[in-house]
Amino acid sequence: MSSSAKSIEQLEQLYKFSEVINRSSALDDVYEQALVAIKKLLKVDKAAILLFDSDGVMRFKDYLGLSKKYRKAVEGHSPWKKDTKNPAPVLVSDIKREPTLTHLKKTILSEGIQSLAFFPLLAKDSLIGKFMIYYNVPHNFTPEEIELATIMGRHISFVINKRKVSEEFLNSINDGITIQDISGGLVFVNNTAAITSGYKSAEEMLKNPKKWVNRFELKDEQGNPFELDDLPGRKALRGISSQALIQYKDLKLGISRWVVIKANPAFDEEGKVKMSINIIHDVTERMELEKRKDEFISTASHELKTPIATLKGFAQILEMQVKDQNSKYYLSKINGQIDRLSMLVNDLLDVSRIQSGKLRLKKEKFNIGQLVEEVASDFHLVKNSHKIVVKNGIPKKYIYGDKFRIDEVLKNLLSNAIKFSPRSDKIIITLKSNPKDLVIAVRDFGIGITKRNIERVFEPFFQPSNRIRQSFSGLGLGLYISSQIVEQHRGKIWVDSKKGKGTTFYFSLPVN
Amino acid sequence: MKKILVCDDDDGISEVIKVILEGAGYNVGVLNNGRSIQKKITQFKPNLVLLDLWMPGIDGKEITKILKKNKNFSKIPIIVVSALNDTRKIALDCGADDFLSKPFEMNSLLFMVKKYTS
Repeated sequence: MSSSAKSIEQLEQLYKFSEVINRSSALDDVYEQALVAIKKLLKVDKAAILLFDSDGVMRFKDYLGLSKKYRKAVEGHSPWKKDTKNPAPVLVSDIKREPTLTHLKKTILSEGIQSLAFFPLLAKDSLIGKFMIYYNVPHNFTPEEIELATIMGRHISFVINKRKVSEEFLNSINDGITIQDISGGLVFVNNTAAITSGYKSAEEMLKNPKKWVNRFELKDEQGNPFELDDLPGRKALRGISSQALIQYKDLKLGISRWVVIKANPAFDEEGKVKMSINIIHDVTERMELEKRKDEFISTASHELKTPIATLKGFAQILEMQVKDQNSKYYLSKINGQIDRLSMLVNDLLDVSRIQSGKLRLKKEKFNIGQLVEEVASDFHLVKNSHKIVVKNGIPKKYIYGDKFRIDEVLKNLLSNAIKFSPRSDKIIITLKSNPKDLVIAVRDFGIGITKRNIERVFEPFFQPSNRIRQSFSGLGLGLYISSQIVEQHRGKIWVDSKKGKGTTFYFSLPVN
Repeated sequence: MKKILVCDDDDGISEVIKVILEGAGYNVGVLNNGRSIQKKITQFKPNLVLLDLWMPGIDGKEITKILKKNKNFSKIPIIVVSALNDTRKIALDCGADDFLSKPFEMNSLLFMVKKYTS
């Protein structure tokens, strides 16, 4: 082949090499492709790429045709150090005749190598490693070969540096970042991901790219085991972007943490999923705070309600036992205030729960008609002031909802009805069954609500300013809480009223 | 005379329940922790147990489950008493017969006790 034809062929190969190593996604691919190209273009028998590790020792990153014994023997014996400036390529045409390679000569020759050369890999001006070429026979290095090798060295350095810069960037991020290939194995993890997974470094974690799964026990927010296939990373490998809140327990270290994992698929040129890119954001502190808040609300609830219950019990006993009219009257006052205190505590705790998003409904299938009847008769048992009528009978209707909370809504509406109709003695409850929902109405014949206030009744802490409110004031939370409960059931709550005539509160609950 | 066993770590609550129930003609036994409840039930042989859910150390829900699983005690009705309203469903799921929330109306307590002892 003529020399110009050879040059053109070489140029083409060089371009191909450049293209291939630029496209490689993982550094390991880069090294592999580089060695293949080096072998082809420089027609070597063996080759290797070495880089400095964090301790400044040159280590083999990839190799072609070298035995483990050889590598072990020569690793770390480079004349070049990290601070070596402007190293020139080192060429040894005939090992047997080389005076300088004293202690390693035997090792090299027994590997079958008779000629070698190494070329620097540079980042800006500092040395990051070298690539080596070996021949099994003595070899004269031509200037063209040296130039070709130098150019290849520059290409390889460029790609390695580009990768290292992006790795450094990824390692500086506080969130964990991992990349999985189509089999689910890890091809990249940043330092944060490795350390929070209990490994000492990213390299250590990547040693077993598939084993990381076995190390953790995964649970969702409800405490149920998280299926591996539902993990955002796995879903991304099926082409779906998603995120999930996961609790993971490191079985080796015994610690539990909460993370939000967000995963996106990466596609190749043909549009097929190639990898999944996962961002792991630790939310353990936030979850623990929520847990403490929840526990506080429960403790506060118990601690406040217990003495109130005792007070109420003894006050009721006394009220029943005393004969003297004055004492009876005072005790009825005491009982009223205790009830008021009890309601205030309940309201505060409910609002606390609502505001920390903890108003979780415990849903079950129950007979709403029966509940309405029970609440109405409870009121009769306790407050004899009004007659509560359930109009049109009590339908046997089952709905799926939080029985206790709906009970709370009914009690709130009934107690408001009683409170705001001191001169009337009747309250009517109706239940209307529609195809999609059930509507319950509580009607009183009391003082009604003004047009101005009617828009505001469901606001927290809203209280109408009038005589009645002043003698029975609460925190103004009952309707707010009721509206939250109804809305959490995906129902609606509304009111109809005419000043001086009365008020009807309606709420609907879905029936499927 | 029907016998009621009240199990609650708070003395105020157990005392007020005792006074109310004794006034209505029941024989009331009181226990302030859940650990010795099986022994007490065996000795006292109550017709009904009123059990507080939230006691330090012993989980009222566990006690309910244990009592209901035991042949000797499973027939005795258990009413769970608790200040925490949203434990109602959990209590019933553990096998309790009914749930009374604290603070309670005297009449509500009497009504429920009568219901489960007749």
